[in-house]
Amino acid sequence: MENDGLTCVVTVHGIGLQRPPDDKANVAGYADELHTKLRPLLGPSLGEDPQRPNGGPVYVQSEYPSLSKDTEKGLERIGNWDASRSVVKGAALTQAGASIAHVALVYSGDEEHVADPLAGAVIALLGIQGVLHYATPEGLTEAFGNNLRGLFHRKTPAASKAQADAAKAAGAQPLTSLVDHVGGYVARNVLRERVRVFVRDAVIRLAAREDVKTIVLNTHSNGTVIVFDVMPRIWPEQARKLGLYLTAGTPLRKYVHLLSWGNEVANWPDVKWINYYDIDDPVGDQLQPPLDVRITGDADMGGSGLFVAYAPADRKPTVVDQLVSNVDANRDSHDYWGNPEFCKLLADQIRSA
Amino acid sequence: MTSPVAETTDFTRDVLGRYICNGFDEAVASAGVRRFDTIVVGGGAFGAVVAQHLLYRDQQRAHRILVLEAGPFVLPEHVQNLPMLGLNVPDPVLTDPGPRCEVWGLPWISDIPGGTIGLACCLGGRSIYWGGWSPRLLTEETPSPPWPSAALVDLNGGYIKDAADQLGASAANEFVFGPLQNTLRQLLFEAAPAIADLIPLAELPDYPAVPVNPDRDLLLDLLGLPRDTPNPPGDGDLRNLLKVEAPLAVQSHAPLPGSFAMNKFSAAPLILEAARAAWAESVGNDADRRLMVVPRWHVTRLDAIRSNNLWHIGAIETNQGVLPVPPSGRVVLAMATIENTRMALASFASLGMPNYGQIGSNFQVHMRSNLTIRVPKAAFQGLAAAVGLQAAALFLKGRHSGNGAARHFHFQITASGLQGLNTDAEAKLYKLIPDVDTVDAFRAMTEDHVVIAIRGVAEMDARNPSSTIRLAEDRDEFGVPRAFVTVKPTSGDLATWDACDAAANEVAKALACGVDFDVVAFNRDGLGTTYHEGGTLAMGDSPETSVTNADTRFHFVDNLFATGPALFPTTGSANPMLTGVALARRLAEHLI
Repeated sequence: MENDGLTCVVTVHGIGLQRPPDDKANVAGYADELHTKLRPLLGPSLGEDPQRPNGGPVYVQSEYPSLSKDTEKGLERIGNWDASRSVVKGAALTQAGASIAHVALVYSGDEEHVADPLAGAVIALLGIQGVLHYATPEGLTEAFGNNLRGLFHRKTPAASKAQADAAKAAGAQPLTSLVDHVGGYVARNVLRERVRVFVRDAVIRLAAREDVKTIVLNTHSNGTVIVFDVMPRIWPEQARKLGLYLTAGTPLRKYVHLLSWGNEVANWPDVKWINYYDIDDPVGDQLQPPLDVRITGDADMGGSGLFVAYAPADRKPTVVDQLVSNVDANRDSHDYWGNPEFCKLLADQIRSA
Repeated sequence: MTSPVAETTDFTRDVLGRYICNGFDEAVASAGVRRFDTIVVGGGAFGAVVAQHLLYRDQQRAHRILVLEAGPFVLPEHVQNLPMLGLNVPDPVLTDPGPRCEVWGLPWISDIPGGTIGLACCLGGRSIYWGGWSPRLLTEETPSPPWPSAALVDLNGGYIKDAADQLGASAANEFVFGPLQNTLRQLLFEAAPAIADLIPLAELPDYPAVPVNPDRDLLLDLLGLPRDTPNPPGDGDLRNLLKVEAPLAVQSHAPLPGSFAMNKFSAAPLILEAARAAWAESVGNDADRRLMVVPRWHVTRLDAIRSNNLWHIGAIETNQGVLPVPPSGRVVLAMATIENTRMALASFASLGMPNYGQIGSNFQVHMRSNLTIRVPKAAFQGLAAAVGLQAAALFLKGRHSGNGAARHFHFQITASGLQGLNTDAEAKLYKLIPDVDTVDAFRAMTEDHVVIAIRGVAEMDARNPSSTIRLAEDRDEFGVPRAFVTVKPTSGDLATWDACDAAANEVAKALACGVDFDVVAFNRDGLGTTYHEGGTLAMGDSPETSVTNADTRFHFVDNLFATGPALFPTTGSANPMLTGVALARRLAEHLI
């Protein structure tokens, strides 16, 4: 790996993982466990946040301090635009000598601070409205067909420790998480745009830093959808620094066929995309075979891919699927970041970016 | 890839399109060589004025301008300059049924009873269809505050006059003239003082064509009266008589020796001429072309980056990709009030901009009524000798006080009559009657009758919390939230509307000269059908009570400007084109 600039890994979480660290209280952030697993795999190349006592990823929060509703303060950890409006200058992302920076975005912390049954009910209704408005019979059939296998798969202990801690801290149950995040993201325009703008701003600012050479987008679950939505909106000059887009356990296929998603990809940047999926994961799907092939299970039927029809331009999202197996005694099928096998694949990709 | 030569359809060779417009790829490629300094989002009336004026006033040729228009290039002229084309404005609808009348679409949703008409999505926009009435706002309709005094000083110091000249609205009696015009004008002049709520003519500003110290002969000329008129009125009465003339944006006479008149104003010829001038200046080299007009380029969002408490538009997201805005570049929102407001609401929804709540508030439209009467021609003295098709267009201004506030209205009065049946009245009417949507009423005229349409236009209260533009939960085809538009008249608004209608009855009686007349039609138009939406990006000196400053720049965005009636803190009753064009010209000069 050349040492003339940082490879910046931007980790974007899915539902239930939106926990920033509290170093004073010795509470880990959602990406700390992943970072710990990457340390031995990447060695001293992997940078640590110089502003945290024990290192780890740099956390950038959409609301900082908590409950402040202030997005800018969190983004300032990455840096600020200088007077020329073309370069971002900010504090170091790693200690000296490291060539890989790890930045973890926390984009949805503020939805769960206050329990609000009425707001939850409104969001649930809007989510249902969104599904009723956008879903297609074809998509509903496909979703049921795909996920029956996952739903009846053997249950495993809930999740990695980080996931369990985060879910407990948030007081979130699976249903309320689904309502809060998927329903809100799909049906509430302002909420969706707030999340997208935060993620877009973070990626653009990182790419506009002179010390960042390449960006690796490491996304999980619903975070894959958000980054997918943001990708065509990355400014051209900054998009040149996008080196790799990694999706793990992505529900994009369900978004496309249930929620009429994915039709804003005409401006897709020139970025390598690898999708990791577990055949038993009820959330994540493989993306490359077209819809009919997925139902019949015959991968040799060919087809041009899931997103091609939405992208009339020459440059289309091109994704390579890679199968992993997450399930063991301590992990369920959606726990990619807790899977050492996945982490090794991830480290290999980061090194080669 | 844009075709480098004019393309041929089954019927036409698209020379105009190829000569005027550029494709997305051409604009992006040329921006790689020299970036655009000013990006105008919207190629309608006000966007075209800004772009054209900026191009021509930039003597140093220092600025490069890009006009992005969501619709195609359809017509090079106002529809009334292309008589009997049959391309009219569609009826209002509640939801978007898809494109209508070739170019009309409804990008927003609303709870306004009866619905709204929407936008003409094409180069020139709604200016290709507008009525042409261009009265100026009175001083009492533009109180300061909320109007920024700096803007008012500029408007009254010359920009309104210049705008009237550009529109063709400064000359009196050149488009509509003759016995019917003179007869009805005199009737109104004599009757107005006795009609309740009409503003005395002496209180109104002079007609735009009247200089500071007018020569008496000039006044007679402007009125179309012979200089040897027997028992002529005094100078004051002549000036007041001129105030009854309709301020119409039609230039029927050649402005200069040897030049053609432009007829009814629309923005399309402006942008056509400017685009060709820029092409000629560049000698065909796109990178040297200072103005590019790109149709079918749909802007979806403005990307703002923050520095301290000020934002900066760093890029424009479009349906064809992200367009970077250079650090010194400026963006002008020129998509008409509702879409301008939606763009600001959608782009800044999550940024914590201090005055975000001001965006979309202060929404105002006009209340409008139409009274059409038919009067026996014999009632009018002096019309017996009139020959051929006669037309008249006249104007009155009113003010109704109630609930501690004064609200304004005005009347746009059009009339037509026939002398003899052997004329092609139908075709001529289409060109003669200023409002395309009132042409139908004039089919009721006969050889023996004159038809008079009295259109009342009344203002609504500013700062009505029940009238707003907000983001809907619904999304458009580009994934952007649609605007949700709601208008609820106050009790004061409704009282003004009633007073306007009552005054219209009195005007009708006066014009009928005391004889019986037929009421052909009376109706109140739906609130969303006037195209006169405004107020939602209001200018003001204080960011706490306004969206934009006196320079029409967003208070908290250092390179984003707006045009059009969205800027008006109060709309008054005046049709917004004149003031909007004046502000657009002022903005263009400010951007240089």
